[in-house]
Amino acid sequence: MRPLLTALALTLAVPAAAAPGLVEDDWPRALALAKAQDRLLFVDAWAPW
Amino acid sequence: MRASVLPDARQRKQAGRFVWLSIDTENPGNAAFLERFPIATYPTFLVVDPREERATLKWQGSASVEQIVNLLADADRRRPRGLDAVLARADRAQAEGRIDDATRDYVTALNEGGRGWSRRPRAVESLVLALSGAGRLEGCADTALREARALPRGPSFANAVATGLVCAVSAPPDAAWRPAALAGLEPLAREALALPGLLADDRSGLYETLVDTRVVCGDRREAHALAERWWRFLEEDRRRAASAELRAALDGPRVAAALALEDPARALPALAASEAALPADFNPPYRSARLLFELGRFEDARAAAGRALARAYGGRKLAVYRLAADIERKAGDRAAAARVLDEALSYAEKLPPPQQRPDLVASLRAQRVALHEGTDP
Repeated sequence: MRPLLTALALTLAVPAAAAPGLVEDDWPRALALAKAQDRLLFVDAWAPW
Repeated sequence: MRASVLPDARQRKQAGRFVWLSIDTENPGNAAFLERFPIATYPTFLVVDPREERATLKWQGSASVEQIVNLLADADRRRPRGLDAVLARADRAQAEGRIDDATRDYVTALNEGGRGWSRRPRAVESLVLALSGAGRLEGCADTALREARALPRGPSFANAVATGLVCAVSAPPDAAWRPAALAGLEPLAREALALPGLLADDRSGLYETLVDTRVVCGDRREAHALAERWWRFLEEDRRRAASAELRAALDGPRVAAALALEDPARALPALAASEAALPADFNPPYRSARLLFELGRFEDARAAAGRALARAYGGRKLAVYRLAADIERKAGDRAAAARVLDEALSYAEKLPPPQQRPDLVASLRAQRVALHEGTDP
């Protein structure tokens, strides 16, 4: 699992100072990324109003 | 908020310490997330600890950029101490639905923090929102009334007052505590309405709640006058909006204001413009169908509902089906109404469990039975 997480982190990592990218509708990917980067997740749960 | 506040918030320094995830709660692919984190209010913001896969903070409703940045700062305190620890414990309890624990800890933090505590406004707002979300209407209104007067005038004051007043308006008319809550919170809500810098969404919500307050107090004249002011605000906001998404963002309140004014037709041009600019969005034709139905223009309403059904997805599509069935029934075509309800119930069965809307499905089923038995209104 670790190589996958590392690969994800390398692919998707953003510098702490830069605006973070947005993961859309992909909880497993966001979770893996958060674990790999030791970051918390901020989730916007919305509905089309 | 998705068109304005969140893109701005992601530019702030604190944002880079989080992984940002956007979840469309109507997307069937998000069922696994929703199983784990049930969502009942829109928007809802969660901070999730990935190691435990548990929410440590849950914020229900709109928030300004500054409020989101403050929430991020609160959530990012890895080893909070003192009052920060009490607030973090309250946030976690609230996120996990342990409302008694959350209430106790928010109250403890407020008592220990005193009037000068810098995070008192946020803590009051969180407590009022938690009580409202749990349906504890008296506690919600009472807390807002007791705490809001002494808060600095800003977004937290406005949100606490508006939420408290919604709780009072929503209470049973014979609730003994309700008149005092309405009388105490209404002037504070009017004061909030005059504050500069509120989110348009929050200001519109204040107008709507004040209109509802005058209605439940039997003052139709003032309700109408307030609804006119609300409408003018919405039109001004639309005129200033820089994008189609921002122009459409307050279409929902636009419909509510037009209905409050008993003038459904006045919102139709804005909805037509939204539909033309956002052709994939089911909301503009759905809202048009609702207004055309109110106007008795059933052919036009049927066409608009058809366009909405072609674009809608998830549990919210059931509400479109319900309106489509209402249109057919009022238009006198009971067989068509039955067909729509059958299609709706078949669609509901295919939805993933977290996206099923049990109350809505029960209502659709009751309508279908009433149609079958000839007992529908």
